[in-house]
Amino acid sequence: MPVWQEVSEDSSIDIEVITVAMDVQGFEKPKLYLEKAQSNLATIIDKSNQLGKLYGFKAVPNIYLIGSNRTVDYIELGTFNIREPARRSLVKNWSYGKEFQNSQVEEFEQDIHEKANALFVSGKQLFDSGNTDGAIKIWRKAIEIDPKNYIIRKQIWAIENPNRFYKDKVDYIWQNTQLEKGR
Amino acid sequence: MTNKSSYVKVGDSAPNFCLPSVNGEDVQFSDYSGNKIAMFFWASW
Repeated sequence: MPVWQEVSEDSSIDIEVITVAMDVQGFEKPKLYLEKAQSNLATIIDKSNQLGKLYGFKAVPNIYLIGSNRTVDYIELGTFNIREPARRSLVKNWSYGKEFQNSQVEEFEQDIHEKANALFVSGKQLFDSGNTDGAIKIWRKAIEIDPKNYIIRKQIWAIENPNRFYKDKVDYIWQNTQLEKGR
Repeated sequence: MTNKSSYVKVGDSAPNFCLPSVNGEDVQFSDYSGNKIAMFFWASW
């Protein structure tokens, strides 16, 4: 949410941001979240999953970029990391009339995947030599640039929090709270 | 059963809707026509 707040305030990107909270409980819970995030984005509530049914998604977050003629130009199911300069540039160019090309996004995804994996390898060398803190520091850089890389993210979790993984059952509720915190 | 092909895809026209905002007033998607829109779906949970 804070990132889309940033985008709406960026005068170099000419788009309207609408956020849709898919909260069956109504206004109160998303309102609290928005207040905490100090967001003034136009936010609507879809208590009955009306748009979820129309758009056909089963999870959030998702982003849909819609052109001025109401045509859907781009869909990303899952996290859309607009803090990434290349991705931000794509949105900026789209806002000024350039086509939002999926091939550019794919190239971009491949690029960040490769960068993250290179950092993973560097971290693995430190880990193998016994420098766990150094390894985790580098792996955190990797997931900063490639937030969807759960292979790297979960390696960190499992090393730092073995009780959440290896004692009794894997603690998926804890994993979700980690994701909410951006860890 | 819902036909999967009826879901919104790239190139489709975004469907209109009227839903309440967090401030209580109704919002029509058509109110935004003419603008480029980033529609971000999320939840507090």
